[in-house]
Amino acid sequence: MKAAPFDYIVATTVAEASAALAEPERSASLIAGGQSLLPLLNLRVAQPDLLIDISRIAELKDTRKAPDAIHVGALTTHADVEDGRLPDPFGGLLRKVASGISYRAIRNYGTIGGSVALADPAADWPVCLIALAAKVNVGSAKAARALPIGELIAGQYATTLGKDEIILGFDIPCPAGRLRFGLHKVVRKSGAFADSMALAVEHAEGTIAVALGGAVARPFLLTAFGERVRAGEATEDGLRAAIAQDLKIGAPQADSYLMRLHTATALRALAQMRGR
Amino acid sequence: LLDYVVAEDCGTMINPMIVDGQIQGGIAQGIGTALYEEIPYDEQGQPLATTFADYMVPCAPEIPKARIAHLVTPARTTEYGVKGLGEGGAIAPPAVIANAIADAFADVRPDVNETPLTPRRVCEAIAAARSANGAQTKSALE
Repeated sequence: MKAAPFDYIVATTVAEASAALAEPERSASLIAGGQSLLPLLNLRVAQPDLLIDISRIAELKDTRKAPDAIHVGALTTHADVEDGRLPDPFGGLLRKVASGISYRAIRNYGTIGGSVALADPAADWPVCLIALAAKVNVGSAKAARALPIGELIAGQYATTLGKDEIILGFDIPCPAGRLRFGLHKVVRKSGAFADSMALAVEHAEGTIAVALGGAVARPFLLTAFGERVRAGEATEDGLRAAIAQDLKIGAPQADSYLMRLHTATALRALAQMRGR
Repeated sequence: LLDYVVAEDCGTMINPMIVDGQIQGGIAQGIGTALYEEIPYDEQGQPLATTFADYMVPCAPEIPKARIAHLVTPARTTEYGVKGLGEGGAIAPPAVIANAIADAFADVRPDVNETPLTPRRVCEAIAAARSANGAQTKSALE
């Protein structure tokens, strides 16, 4: 199928794109890499009447390292991260996550901002950014704000972005020392979205964050599991009970198969982290 | 899939390269039947896989390079002693892969008999076998 007709403009500043988004009685959509949007347009699942191309806005490409955080511009592509064109004080975690996204042709164009804005619960970046306690910077023609990534993603393909708001980039806090991580992802075949994906991260001072995505309403932290691991829980039954407690809250719709699947990915991410 | 081995007999091989290609291609198709391809319907009869976004087929990374052994027993009743070979490769994979899974979980004895062998089907078959085994052990103890 082909996309339904739409108008197209190229914005050169955030203010311009935001003003176009805010136009009343128009359904406008931002396009950056287009790797998720174009198929949706072609299947006519999405039918905006205006596409605002933000791929040339310089301020969305701003990527730099501050003493306590790295700032990643929204237009950073998965391939930029995979190829190491980004500071990665996370022991290779960002590169590892980027290289596991779909396949290379998608990674050449797909952006981190686009991935988060789509809010697919099975996408890689939201899980990673939640585990790393990243903040997202959001701006419009009028104002800018920063909020924790978990507060941006409201549910399946839903965010708390205002009609005129654009994701500018992400601030990912730098770890104080060495960071260990384990990433386990279950996909039906190469390049597919994950049925379940868990990322376990341990900071030098001992804090542990385990984020889970996939067949859930939205990615979330397995807090009881993380705490139990940190407290030195030695038995697998104890760990499984903690994960079950987290899944009851974060994935209440999960049937027995999904419970087993998510539990397995969380335990494997942990085992992988401990092996590093 | 870690490995895939075929022994076949298509009689006289006229072009061995084509024989290998037919077998490898057939296996690719058979892996699709075994693991991926399915047209499910919802309760209202609505088909759920109407594009290649939902209808999964194996791609290159999912298909192992088959190791092939040829037994050459020329047919007595055909020209040159040839036999058919085009479909053989596609027929075996569902049974082969289902049996490999059954073998991997031989201690649990799951019923692995419905394709495609999705992670959900395999996991549920194992869970069902485990709980049936548990019930048996329990009734044996009682």
